[in-house]
Amino acid sequence: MTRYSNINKIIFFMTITALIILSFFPLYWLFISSLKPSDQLFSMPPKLFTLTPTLKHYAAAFHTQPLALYYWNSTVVACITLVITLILGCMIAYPVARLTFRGKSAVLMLVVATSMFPAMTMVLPIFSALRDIGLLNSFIGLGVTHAAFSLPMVVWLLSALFKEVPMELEDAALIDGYNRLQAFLKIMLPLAAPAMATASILVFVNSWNEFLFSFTLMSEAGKRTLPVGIMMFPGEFEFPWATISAAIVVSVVPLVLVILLFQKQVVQGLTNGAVKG
Amino acid sequence: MSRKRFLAALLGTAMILPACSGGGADGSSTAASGSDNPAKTKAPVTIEFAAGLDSSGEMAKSIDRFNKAHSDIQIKYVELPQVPNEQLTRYTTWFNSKSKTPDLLLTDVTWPKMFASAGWIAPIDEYVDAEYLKQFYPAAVDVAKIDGKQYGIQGWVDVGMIYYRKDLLEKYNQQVPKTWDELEKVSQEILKKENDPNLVGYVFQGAKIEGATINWLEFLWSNGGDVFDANGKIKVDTPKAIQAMKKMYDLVQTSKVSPVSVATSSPNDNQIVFGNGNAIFMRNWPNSFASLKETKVNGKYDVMPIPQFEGGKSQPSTGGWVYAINSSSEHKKEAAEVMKFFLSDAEQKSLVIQTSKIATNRKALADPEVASKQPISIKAQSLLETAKSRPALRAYEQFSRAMQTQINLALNGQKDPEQAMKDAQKEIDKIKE
Amino acid sequence: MPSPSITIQQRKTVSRRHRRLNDKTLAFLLITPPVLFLLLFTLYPILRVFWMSLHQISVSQPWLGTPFVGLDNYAEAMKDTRFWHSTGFTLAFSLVTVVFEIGFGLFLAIIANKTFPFRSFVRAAILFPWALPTVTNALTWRWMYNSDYGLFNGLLMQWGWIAKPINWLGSTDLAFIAVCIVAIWKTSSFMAIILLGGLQSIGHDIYEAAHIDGASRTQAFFLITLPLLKNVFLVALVLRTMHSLQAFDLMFGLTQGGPGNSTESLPMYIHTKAFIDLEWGYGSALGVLLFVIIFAISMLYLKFLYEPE
Repeated sequence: MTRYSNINKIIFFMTITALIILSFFPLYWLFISSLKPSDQLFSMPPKLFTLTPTLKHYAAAFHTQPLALYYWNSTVVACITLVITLILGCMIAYPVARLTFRGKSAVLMLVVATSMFPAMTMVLPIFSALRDIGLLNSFIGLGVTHAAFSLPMVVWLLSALFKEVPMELEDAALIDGYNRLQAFLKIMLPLAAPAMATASILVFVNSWNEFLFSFTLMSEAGKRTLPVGIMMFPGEFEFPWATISAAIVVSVVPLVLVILLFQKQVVQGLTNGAVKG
Repeated sequence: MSRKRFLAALLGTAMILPACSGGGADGSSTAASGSDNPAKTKAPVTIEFAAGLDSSGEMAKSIDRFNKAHSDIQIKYVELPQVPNEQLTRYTTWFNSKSKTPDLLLTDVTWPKMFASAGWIAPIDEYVDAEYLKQFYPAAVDVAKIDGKQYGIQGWVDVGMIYYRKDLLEKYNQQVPKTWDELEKVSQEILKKENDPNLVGYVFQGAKIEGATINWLEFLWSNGGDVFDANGKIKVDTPKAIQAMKKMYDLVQTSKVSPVSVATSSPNDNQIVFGNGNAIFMRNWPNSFASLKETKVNGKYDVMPIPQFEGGKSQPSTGGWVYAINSSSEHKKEAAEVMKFFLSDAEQKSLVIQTSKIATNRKALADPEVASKQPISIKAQSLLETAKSRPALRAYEQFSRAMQTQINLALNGQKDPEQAMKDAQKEIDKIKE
Repeated sequence: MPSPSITIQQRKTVSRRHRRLNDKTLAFLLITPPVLFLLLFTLYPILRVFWMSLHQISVSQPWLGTPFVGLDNYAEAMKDTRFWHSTGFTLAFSLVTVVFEIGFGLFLAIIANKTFPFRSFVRAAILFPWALPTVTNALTWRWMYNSDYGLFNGLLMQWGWIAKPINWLGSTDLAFIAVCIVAIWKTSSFMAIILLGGLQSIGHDIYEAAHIDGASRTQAFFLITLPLLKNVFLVALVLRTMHSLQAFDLMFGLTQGGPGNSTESLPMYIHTKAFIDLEWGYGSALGVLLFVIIFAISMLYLKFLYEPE
């Protein structure tokens, strides 16, 4: 028995290790490359480590572009997107999951239509519209755009998971005299917390990584988001791999840390809001 | 209780309504400065200048110099990604919505006709006369001359050249090749004798990028051919064109002097391979001259003109950027001022010295100080004498893509060179002129 | 104070009536702001695109005007081999990647759901591939795939597994696989997150009850986990498919659609037509066709997989 479970454990941990290697190897490669002196960068066979690391490329990366600023911009836009999407998402998902009203399918159609329509064909109309309102080069303008494209996913996710929560719990609350909003806040929200956390991660990362609209709507240098900022590095003929590696590492590592932290929240949310009979 | 819900709904709506823009709207609706009464204007006119980011920092310094010297006009630098395709997306978005900014911009050399046809850039004839234009190399002016009107002036020019390992050629007593056949022979000799599995003969660009079209054009021109037929139509399935493609194909598939990886190579990829010491010949642009100094082949390379076919003529392709003015701009006169500043003798001289870019201002390029500080400029000058511009077409991008696709497939060995050219012609015929 | 029983009785009636009334009003109040938002942001641009697809809009030939051409653009698309080819590629790409993503995603989610030391770190590792922006990711993989100086060929040759460098992005078949690998690598973690959220919403008690009833782990998986995951699963499936069908950044950064046009997705073709060839009418028509394809596939999913309560 022990032997069987030991083998199981070994296999399990080997799987985990393989998983970690598979997930991280591109970042590892970039990380190592960013530390290599220029003449070692493209040597074949490739070296998986270097004995003479240098920080020259990081200095160059920061010198070329204000990465910290781009980081901040991306964060602000992602947060705005998150807030708008969650609020609007709940506003649609809750009635869809719980209430009966006419036009439910029409609303869902509209919501889903956004993700079904190729975004790049909408660039021009959205650009003109935002320009006329005066929301170009503004965090709110971009955040609102990202929210529009993230909304379908959030609505689907939330309505699917709101439905999972048993009706009886809510009905009990309503009988106890709570109104819908209170029932939502006190019962539904805590139970759906893991789902909300998941949706939040998705929205945040989607907004963070988005390129097309971030590029089109924010032309001011000081407002660029991170993906756009990184695209400023490639030259007309040359591609400074070393500097770009450093820039990418810098942009990604804090994100990894945030994800690490966020994961703890999700776990806590689960243990606190577990369904207790 | 209903009030709470109502408030919640209001909150949601309030989040949507643009209460404030996050820090000043783009000056694309009305310029924040300047008015239509130049006599009254005390505030300086802001000219937005859009250009690819200049990693050398010279552009920013140039703008600084202008801003310090002028009180009536100030330049605002709008940095774009250096990759031309990204810039094109940006320009398309801006100009399609009749954006008033940027006022002045830099376009790739293949875009003036496209932009002019679309009505995106304005003629500058009223700001520059024939005398003024004489200061520049003819190609720099002709590139933006469309239907008799002048739509811009080229700021600097790139020219194609071949880099070669002079140490290897010396070691095996080889002459610098002048024809493609000679290049093949020299490569084969050296490859055989050097016996290095990592070494290849000739690397060039054949990926599905503009570079593929440029390389092919150079083969075509060196064969004495051209893409335009007698009637001015594009013809790429002519015998000379097919010969050119076949030569490229042979280099990879037959004599194997070039590796198959050229079918996915960009200028940067070639530079890395050459810099690693793994190629004898490389076709690239002037900027590589400085960059290669930091690699293993430092001191071992030199440049030579693009080879020709027997009885043909070596004709490298040009690249570069053209100053143009947005037709929706409200400050065209000031934008022209700024353009002239960048094209002035002093600024152009500084451009060459600081960045080794080849200026189009004759006087600047001929300056002795320039020659001493940037020797590549002398070599480039001689090459410029025979350089040729890419065909000026309204639908240049479409033409180029058709070519790139087929060249790519042929080099890969997935298509016969003649078939490739015929298929390219079919694609090109679809373009409505 | 009135007696409690009367109050409760009254409150029940009132609240029931209140509830019915407020259902509709509540729904209306909640739904309207977001709907207005979407109408402005998505319906308006979509309608514009539809409208443009019915005209010939050749931006670099403004002297042609923008005549109404009805369904001509669509007719032309039907005859356009490049349209069919890119559509075929997009569908094949989506099919292959979604199938693998589901498998890997489920696998990853189950692992992430277990308890073991360093779990948070492993979860971050699982999340990480998806957190990279696609453009950055495409560039990185392009470097690794490079046949002259890339990581893969370098290692493979060093270990003696291959004698000659593999032309990953240069041959049509390999390029397709190469693109799929990157997509699967990146988005399995997306699937994993969604499925993880679903897994965690399933309470432990159900499993306990099943265990008490004598069900084995495998039985529990197939009889409890999978069915309960169904809704979430469907959401993930539809989202991923819609997303795959719109894939653009990946191919653009990795292969520019090459070799030839073999890895050109339909969105890439649309981008070329619209932003480079400046044919907005035709590009819009292609966009509408893409929408129709996505819509049809989503409807298929819903028809076969969605169970209304």
